[in-house]
Amino acid sequence: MNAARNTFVFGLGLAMALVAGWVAFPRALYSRQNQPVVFRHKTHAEKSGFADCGQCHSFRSDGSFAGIPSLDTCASCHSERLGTSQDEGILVDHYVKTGQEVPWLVYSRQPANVSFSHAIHVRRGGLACAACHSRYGESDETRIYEQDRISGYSRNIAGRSIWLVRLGRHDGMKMTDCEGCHRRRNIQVGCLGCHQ
Amino acid sequence: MKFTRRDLLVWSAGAAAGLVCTPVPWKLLDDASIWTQNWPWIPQPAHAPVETKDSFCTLCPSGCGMRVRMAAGWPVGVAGMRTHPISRGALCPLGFAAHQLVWHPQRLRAVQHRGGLSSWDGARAAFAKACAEGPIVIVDGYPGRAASSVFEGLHSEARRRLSGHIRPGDPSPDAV
Repeated sequence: MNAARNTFVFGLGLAMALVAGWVAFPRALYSRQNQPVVFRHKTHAEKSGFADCGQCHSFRSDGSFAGIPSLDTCASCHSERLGTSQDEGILVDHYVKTGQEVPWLVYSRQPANVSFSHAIHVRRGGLACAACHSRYGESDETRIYEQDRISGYSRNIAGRSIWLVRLGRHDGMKMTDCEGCHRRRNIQVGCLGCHQ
Repeated sequence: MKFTRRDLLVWSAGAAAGLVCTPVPWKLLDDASIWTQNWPWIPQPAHAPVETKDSFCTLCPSGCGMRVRMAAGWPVGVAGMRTHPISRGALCPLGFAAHQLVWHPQRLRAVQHRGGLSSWDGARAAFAKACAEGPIVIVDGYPGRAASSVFEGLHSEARRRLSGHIRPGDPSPDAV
């Protein structure tokens, strides 16, 4: 009788911990925020004929990568409403007409001690955008920004899987991911290559 | 059915066994290590476009070439300059960390005189008084540093004052 009772109570504790760890913990760990404006890559590619990522995500004249386009790039087409969508209305009324930059939530923001050069990877390494960003440039949705409440970084940095196991080749932007890709391509980079 | 003390212990053992099979301890350990890098007193460079400026190191007389990465007007990284004829891209450990010296806790951030806070006017008056009383001596144990140029400025100013090149009532140079 006692053995059966002990097994039941032990199993109860085990099951409760598993549920708490796999279901409740991830929900408590990450805060979820929507981007200030819903941006659709696919719609822009289809309606505007943008076939190259570099048309918006450009390199500056000194070779550095500009990252997310500034408001000027958006305003070059959206100085006034072109359609009837609510998202475009937010962009035009709240940002373009007021001249305020859109406070995008950056999924890939790295710690301050990390230096990543798009120019080296794209221009010298010859990597296509999709090699790291997968097919996000063809998607028609804006991902929810999930922020780790403890580390303060995006969930995309540590990887979508909370178990520290990669779900795919494009998952995660931690140092081990950099090292893994460099190892596969047999490219040696010392500490100062990234931590300048 | 009464939940006894033994039940609590057995339940805790089960919960502990279950917990190590979840991401909780491992993820918390990983996040805590990252969290320690972002304590509020650790300086964080601004998120701004990074520009690169060529310069040279003033921390010793060698004057190695430096390629300094700047964000929002602040140095955030240092690399050697391959085209520099002397250093050829090399830097010593101190030179590599030169951009971090501005955050040194013992860095002087205000005018000090005899161990206490002072003002530029107070320092100028004390300096003029010292010059009027007689020769002054400046001992620089490591010539060639950035601070050495400050000492040289002081020295040349003292010589000018002692040789009578500056008349009473002349404005003091801002460099002193």
